[in-house]
Amino acid sequence: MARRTQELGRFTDVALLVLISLAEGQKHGYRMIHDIEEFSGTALEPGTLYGALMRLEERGWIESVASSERRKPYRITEGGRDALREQLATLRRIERAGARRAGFAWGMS
Amino acid sequence: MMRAIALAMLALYPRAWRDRYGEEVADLVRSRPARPRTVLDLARGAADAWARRGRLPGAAPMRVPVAAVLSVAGAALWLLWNPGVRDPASLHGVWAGAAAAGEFAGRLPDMARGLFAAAGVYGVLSVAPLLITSVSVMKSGGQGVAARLTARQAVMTAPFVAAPAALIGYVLYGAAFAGGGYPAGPLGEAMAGGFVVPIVLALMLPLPAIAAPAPALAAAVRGCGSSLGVAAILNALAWLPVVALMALGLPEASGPFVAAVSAGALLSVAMGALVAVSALKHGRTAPSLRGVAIRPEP
Repeated sequence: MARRTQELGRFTDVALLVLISLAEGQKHGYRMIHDIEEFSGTALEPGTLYGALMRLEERGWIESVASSERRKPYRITEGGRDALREQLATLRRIERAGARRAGFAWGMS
Repeated sequence: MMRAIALAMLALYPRAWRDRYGEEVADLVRSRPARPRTVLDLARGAADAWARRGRLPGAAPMRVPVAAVLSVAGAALWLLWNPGVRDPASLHGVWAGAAAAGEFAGRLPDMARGLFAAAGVYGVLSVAPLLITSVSVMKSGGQGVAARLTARQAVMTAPFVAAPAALIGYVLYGAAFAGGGYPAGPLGEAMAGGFVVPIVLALMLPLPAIAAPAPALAAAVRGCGSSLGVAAILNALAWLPVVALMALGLPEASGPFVAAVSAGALLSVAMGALVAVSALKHGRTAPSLRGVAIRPEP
């Protein structure tokens, strides 16, 4: 995943947040921004969000859903789920290595 | 106020992006608090969208007008020549180094000057048959009004092309043959044409462009394209003796001098090639008289 997302450049982290947000169901831009702020504390601005959406659509990891509403929803594709799974696995490895080296033990103060 | 500015930023995005995402983002901007960072983020996003414009669905390839490219290239050539190449120590040092290599090196400047001069003269003469044909079509009662108007436009444009070309030709003559103005030495005189001839060739381009739509002028437009192609080839060949001189005297050249000459040579050849390709394209797209019924005016 690290190799596949490398070319997303500064949008790598934002793309991950978008994929996580869409993993639980389709959302339009407004709901995505609120959801991402809620679960990650990251307040995205529209230019950054749509820069990431453009890249994710290009890769076929998300797609827009036909809707009669003014706000167009997006959903994650199977390819997007695979990409998300890989990236979360990478983050998990990094987190374990970091915690082991720093001597952290989560859940114990 | 900030929201209005943020919405105005959307105009900076490429059309294809606006068609695809513009409405959604505008809706998002309207429904959230707009801050200075929102505006900056949208400006940054616009730059990013332009950088990735070719990948947007429905984006047409960006077309830069040939005239704009040639204007910028011409100005760059002029700057590369003066002050870029006018480094007396390198000009004379390289020449001294090359001249020491033997009699053959002594002939190289004449070879370069002759080829550049031939390229310039050939380029200027390339439009002569087109102008002669245009004058004849203009005066002919057997041609349609459109053909006569096109021919007239080509003839009327000629002085505006000829005047700067003559001025540049005079500068070239002074720099390459009369030793006027600047002690550039044999090497400077040898390469001066390379910085001037492509500009002269580019100045000729409006004439075939204007004449191309008239079937009566099609053959002359094609001939003009071929001649400008030959002129561009001569211009490229003329750089070979200069390159040989530079190679022979390279240890005496400063880094910036070598960079300016190399950039000038590449730009000169590329500009000549662009002029030739554009002129040949006008020739290819010019409608032929064959199969076209020309109705004389009553």
